[in-house]
Amino acid sequence: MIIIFQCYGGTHTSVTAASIYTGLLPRGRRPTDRELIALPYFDRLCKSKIGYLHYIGADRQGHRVFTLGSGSWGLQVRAIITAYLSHVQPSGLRVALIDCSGSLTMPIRLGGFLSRRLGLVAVGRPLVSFGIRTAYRSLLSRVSDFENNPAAYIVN
Amino acid sequence: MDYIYYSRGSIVPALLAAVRHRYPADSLRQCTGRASAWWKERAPNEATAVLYQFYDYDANGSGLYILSAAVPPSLVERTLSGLTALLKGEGQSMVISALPAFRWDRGRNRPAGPLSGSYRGLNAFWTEIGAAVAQARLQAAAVLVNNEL
Repeated sequence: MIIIFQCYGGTHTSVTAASIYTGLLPRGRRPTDRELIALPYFDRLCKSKIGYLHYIGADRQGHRVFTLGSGSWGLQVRAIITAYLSHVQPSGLRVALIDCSGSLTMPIRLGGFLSRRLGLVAVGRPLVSFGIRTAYRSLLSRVSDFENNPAAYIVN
Repeated sequence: MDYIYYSRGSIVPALLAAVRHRYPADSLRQCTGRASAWWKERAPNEATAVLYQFYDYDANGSGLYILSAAVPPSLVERTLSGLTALLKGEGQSMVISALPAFRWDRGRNRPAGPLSGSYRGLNAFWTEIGAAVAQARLQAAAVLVNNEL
């Protein structure tokens, strides 16, 4: 199975959720700023990287985990992926798509805009980290929901 | 190798590109006739946000697909290229999204013609379609050469 965590820019909520899923972030407590900022791809991708799949790692079963930014076209991109997979010859590979944009909060949006769009990393990144830590429970529940019911997220 | 022709907002450019790919010697009039006949036979019953259909196989046995949605072409190209590489391997599928835009007459529910601007007139539109198809063939050939090397 290929597991894709999807959000607006593919660099904040999706990276955090994918890192929780692969065990890079703790589940029993909120991560520190340092832990978040040390994550690969966290607050490091710009708009031109939207649409690319970024490999985060593998889970315990060996499934490959990716993140994907889809801008404001998340639902349509999901529909395109679903339509595309319905025509692909069955390769036995399942694709699960987990939309993390529901966990986006105002500090993440604002911090992401400042850091990624305006280049004000010194101001934006701490704001994003704060936003991610406040939305951490929501991201944890999203990951748990996927783990408990993966069939609901499989698109092919 | 499969070819996926993507056009934003209207299926017309993608469908005409697929027809031109399948029948490279045909004129615009002939291709339009073929596209129209195919569309009458295969058009979905309901309007959908995303249209993705198999058109035909070309002379080399490559599959020709058409795709239309409202998503920016570059986003579709990157996403599907990445997904294809994961599922089938590199160079097994190509997304062609650099097609000229086309207007849809919502009032009459039929194609209204090429978008004004740099694509004035059907002939210019047809030239763009031909160039996109030729470019796709060249890129596919380059992939084969690279694989052999």
